[in-house]
Amino acid sequence: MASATGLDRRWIFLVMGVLVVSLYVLGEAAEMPVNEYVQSYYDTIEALPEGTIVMLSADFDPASMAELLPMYQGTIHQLLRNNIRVLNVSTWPAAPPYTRAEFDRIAPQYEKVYGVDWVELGFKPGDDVAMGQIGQSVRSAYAKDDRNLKPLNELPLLNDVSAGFGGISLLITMSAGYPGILEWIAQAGGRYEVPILTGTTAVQTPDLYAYYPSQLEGFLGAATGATQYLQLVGEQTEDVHESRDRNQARMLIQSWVHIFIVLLIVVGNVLYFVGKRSAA
Amino acid sequence: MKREIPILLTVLCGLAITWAFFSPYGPSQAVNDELLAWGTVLFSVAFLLGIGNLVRISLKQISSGHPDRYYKALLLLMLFGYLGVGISEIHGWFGITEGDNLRRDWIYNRIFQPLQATMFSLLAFYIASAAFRAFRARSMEATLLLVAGAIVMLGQVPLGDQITGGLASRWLAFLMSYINAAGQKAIIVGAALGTLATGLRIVLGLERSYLSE
Amino acid sequence: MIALALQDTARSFFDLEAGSADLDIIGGWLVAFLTLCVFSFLYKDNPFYKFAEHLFVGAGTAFFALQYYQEGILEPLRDHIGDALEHQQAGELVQLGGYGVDAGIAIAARCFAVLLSIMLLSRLVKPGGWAPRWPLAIMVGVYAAIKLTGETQSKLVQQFRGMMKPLTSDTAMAWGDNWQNVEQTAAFYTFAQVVLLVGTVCALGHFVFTFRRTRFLGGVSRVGVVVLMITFGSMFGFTVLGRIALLIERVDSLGGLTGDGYQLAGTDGSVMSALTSPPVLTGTLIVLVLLLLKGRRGDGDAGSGSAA
Repeated sequence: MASATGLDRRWIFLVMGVLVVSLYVLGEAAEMPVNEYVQSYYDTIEALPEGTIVMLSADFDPASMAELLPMYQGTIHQLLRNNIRVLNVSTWPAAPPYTRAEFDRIAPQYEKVYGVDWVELGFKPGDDVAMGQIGQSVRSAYAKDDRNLKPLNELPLLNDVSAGFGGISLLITMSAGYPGILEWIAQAGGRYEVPILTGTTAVQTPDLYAYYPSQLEGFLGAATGATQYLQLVGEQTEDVHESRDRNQARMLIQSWVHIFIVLLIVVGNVLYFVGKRSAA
Repeated sequence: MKREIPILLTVLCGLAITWAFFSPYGPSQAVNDELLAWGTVLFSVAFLLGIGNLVRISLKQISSGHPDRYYKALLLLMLFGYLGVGISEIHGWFGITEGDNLRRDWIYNRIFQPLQATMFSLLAFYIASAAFRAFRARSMEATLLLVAGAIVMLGQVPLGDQITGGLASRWLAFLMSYINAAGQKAIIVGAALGTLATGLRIVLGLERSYLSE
Repeated sequence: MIALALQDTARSFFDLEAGSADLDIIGGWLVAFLTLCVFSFLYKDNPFYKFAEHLFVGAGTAFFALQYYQEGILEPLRDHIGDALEHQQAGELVQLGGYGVDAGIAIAARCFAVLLSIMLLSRLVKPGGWAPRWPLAIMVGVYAAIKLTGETQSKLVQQFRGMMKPLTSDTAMAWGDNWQNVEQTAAFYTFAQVVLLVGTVCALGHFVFTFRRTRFLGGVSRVGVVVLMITFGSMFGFTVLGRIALLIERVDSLGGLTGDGYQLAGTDGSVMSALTSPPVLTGTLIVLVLLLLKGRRGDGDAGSGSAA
């Protein structure tokens, strides 16, 4: 009987690679049911009155963009469509290019004006300390905005923001790890009791169940949460249809790969126990 | 005095920030804000110190004839080239508009982004390999772990739920919302108690290990 | 680039303003080549992977350094001090944490941060000196206090507050009304809340080492271990989900480069277009070079980077 440990793992890599590429080429897609956490995320944003200010924190990098970028795009669409003003910050250095690119692409569709409807303040180093400083006072934390390097008093949106999250109705964070949602819950939710929404990677998602609903209004967990959320946003926004369809296709590929991995675990264990019994 | 003054600084800064958490008094908030700004600046300077270390090690390997010396030279070329482009943009040198991001973003989108994304995607292959070669249900605990993992893997995806007749997603919902939440709460509370104890020790000047050489 | 003349393309060869969603031609070829260089590590460690790895470290370090320099040094020091000087000339107070402070004091305080930075940098010149200890001590104090206050509030106080929920629900349905969707019934709600409460207490009880493990505490610990194993299993399942999603995104990204103006010949969607696209051509180049290297060296160190 073949030993599971004797097999060159490159064969497994090859099967895995062929599986993913061939499923990608087939190009099928599947719609998913929406869970209560995603629905709550969506409904919380929908319930915001027009003109309110939301702080949107991009706390991710290219390693997590597969899961978080679709959520980020959908969130920007939903916020701007509902005429919510957006104050962008970031505690990850690699995130601001995404903020610039996405607002460059999405804001013109809703005829939004920089400085009035959205502001990009950019990256703030310091992890928890940066979050504490942003919460304490945005004007102390940042001297200029990130897009045009203008002093903050020249940006009309900032006139309605004051110390201690004053004027900010909601904090949304796209969180890939540390610093991220857990630190925002401590620095913003714990100190200033700001309502918080989050989109996170799969690795961080299990942690969030302990915070919902007492400290989190809703969350998007992993690529599944992103797909479900884009389905909801896509009901009213055509521009996300391409992203939604792409994510639904990815979820179908994901399904087959998960079944493959469960089979690998089962077969590996069967071979192990049979081999052990034979050796005994 | 070599140890006493730093410990005193730690205690003063720690107590000032802790006090500001409870006090709405204006001057305490101003002190808090300024200390946080210092923390941000020092954090950034410490990061830049680390780069000096990377350059020093790479130069040492190049000069000592290390087998990877050409790759180290490439690393330094990329590092200083990108730094040069970026600093020129930040300060508006060589006719570039000050604060322009175009050149930095160009390199970021074509070199850094695909490389980092692909490095992390390699893990998918290693997980598949580990699933076959290493994940063994040797004990009751390991079996529980694997079964829970299988429920999550099947319940999260549309096909997985279909082949289990809709059971996977229902079990997943109960497992995540109640059992996982219970375990997570215990871990969170335990870690928070540890943070509280260590934080208090540092702020009260009882913890001194960070000063050792 | 003569080959590019074989097919019309509206895509520019080099465009400084093209973002990641719509790369220029050279960008598309670079992304495809570098992605496949990293994937080549799955076969074994090789020059292509080493090239990509060192390029990544250099680019990443430089990018992060630029961000920290601009946002962590220039902005809080140069820009804030400049801003405070303007306020001083205008006779205005500087806002710190929502409180108005004399501009002179604000400038002096921020200049002290400059001094602290210089003291920290002195570590490069004299590693064992007393000067770097002061800024280090301030950083430790600041971070410890921030963590202490925020985490105690959110992870102890608010967590315990969140756990104190009624075990019964007024809004859930009675069992008899909805036996097919049992999760929506009042009985299930109570059962689930009891599971949550007992699970949390038992998992916490597992970490109590102050007392001897009597039958009661041993039983509590056993239940706690079951809860924790299921928790770790769910974390494992989600980790698999996350890693597979990253791989699928890279394949999708490469798939997006198999046409759309990046190919050397053929129209979008045709076989020629796929065969002359960046992923296929660069992948073929990498495979051919690796085979050539393998042929030259023999198979003496085959699998050294990957197989175990």
